Amino acid sequence: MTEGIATRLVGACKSTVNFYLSEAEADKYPYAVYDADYTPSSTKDGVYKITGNVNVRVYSETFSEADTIAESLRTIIGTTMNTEGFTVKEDASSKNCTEGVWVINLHYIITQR
Amino acid sequence: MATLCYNIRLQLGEKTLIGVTQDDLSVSAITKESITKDDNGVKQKAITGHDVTFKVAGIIDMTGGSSSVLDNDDLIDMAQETGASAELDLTYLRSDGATYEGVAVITGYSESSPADPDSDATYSLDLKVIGDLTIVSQSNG
Repeated sequence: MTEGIATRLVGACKSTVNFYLSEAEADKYPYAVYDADYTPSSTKDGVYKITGNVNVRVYSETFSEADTIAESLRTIIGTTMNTEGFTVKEDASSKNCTEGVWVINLHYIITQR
Repeated sequence: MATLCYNIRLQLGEKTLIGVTQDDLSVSAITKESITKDDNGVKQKAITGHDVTFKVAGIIDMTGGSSSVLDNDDLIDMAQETGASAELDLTYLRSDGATYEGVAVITGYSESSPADPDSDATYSLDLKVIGDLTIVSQSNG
């Protein structure tokens, strides 16, 4: 387990959109943020699996832009993260507009073995 | 009070089981009841022996066995042995240095594999010790 879930996630997504942990480090739309919590599973030999509950949120002033970016991230996460040592399952998604800003939330369960 | 020893490991022969999440040891007395006319209606009980069993639970490891570890394919093979070839040398290792040894047979093996890819395939192994479980090395404490 040399490369963590977050490291791979950031590496996969940062070329598509400005991608930050927890909160944006810029005040210009569009951008995306992610947060994650991790649960390790152990045998007597040590940790054999880490399960990450990951939320990716895309922020944009227009729905079409937010939706396009979210679809791109969905494709990238589904392919790049679903490689040797990792499995990805999209668990839920939602689309909301608050004060003129569209937020598309993608929730994933990412497992690293 | 001394802390409880944890992470006790079970070895079969020279190999350690992989993927183990829990080892359970059980020792139970075999009793025999008798009554003679001299007992005036009160049954007598005597211990005639002991049943020593282990139950092991674990995650199925798909990486394969080696000369030092037992994988699930090994266990399935061993679970189907008969006669003298079904007997296995068993070592019970405590992390405080105490070591028990005995001879055991596999009395049950089961696997469970759910469809959900986030869930792990698991196995359960039942072992019965033939004869005594003998301490061969005392704890360090």
